[in-house]
Amino acid sequence: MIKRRRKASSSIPTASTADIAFLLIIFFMSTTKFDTKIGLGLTLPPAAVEGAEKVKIAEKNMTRIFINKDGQFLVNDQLMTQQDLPKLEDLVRKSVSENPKMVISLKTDREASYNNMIMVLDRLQKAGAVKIALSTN
Amino acid sequence: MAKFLRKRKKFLIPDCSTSDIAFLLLLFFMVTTVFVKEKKFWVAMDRLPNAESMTKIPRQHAATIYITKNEEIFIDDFMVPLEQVGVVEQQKLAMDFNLVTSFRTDRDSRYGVMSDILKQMQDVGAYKVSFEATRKRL
Repeated sequence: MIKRRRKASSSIPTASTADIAFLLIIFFMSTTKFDTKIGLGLTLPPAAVEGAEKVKIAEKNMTRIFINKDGQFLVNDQLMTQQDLPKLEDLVRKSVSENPKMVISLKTDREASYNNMIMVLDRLQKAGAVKIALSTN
Repeated sequence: MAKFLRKRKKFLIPDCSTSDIAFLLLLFFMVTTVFVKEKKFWVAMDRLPNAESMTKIPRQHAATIYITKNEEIFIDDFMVPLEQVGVVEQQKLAMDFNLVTSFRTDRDSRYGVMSDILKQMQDVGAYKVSFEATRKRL
């Protein structure tokens, strides 16, 4: 009589796969760093073409802001400093709400700090200004 | 007195599907993860200006221009001379029509450099820009 041999089981133990998977998830979750980009968005106008007709904006539809290299702001011939930024915001908010066609011309000196320009741009956007023209001397 | 011993039912939470759930989550993270293109951050977060009215920039359409305090210009991971910024931007715009150029500029740099770059971008048609900033702490 031939004795039958017992076949050795060939299954792969899978009991620990969940542990491994969770370990990997925890690793990814703890090491992942979300790189979110936030900033002040702006859409630039197309470049001026030579010979093209220039659009004239009426003076009443324009608020002029000039930033000099010393960090001072000139708003419609009124001198302001960084402390007056809330005042500037109120002024722009009022003028934009009264006149929706209002264009804010922000002219920044080439030697002026980028930080000052961003501070003013932030206030303008906060005040609800949509038409903002950036320029430099 | 006769004692009646009730057989207690065994309560077991089926855990045979936990590995499937875990692998599903793992695959989800692996598929949705987008690796950042830039290896080095040339301008640190604490060197950015502060602002309040900010919007999110779509990561997949963003090209970052770094401008350091010394006015060195880097686009994504490469140093680019000022006069070449327009050419690089044009190439990027050809690859992605919805390109948003994000400026990560040191707050102490001069506005003149920014102005020159913005002029070049207008010339090549890259109109969507964003000035990166950190949220103002009140």
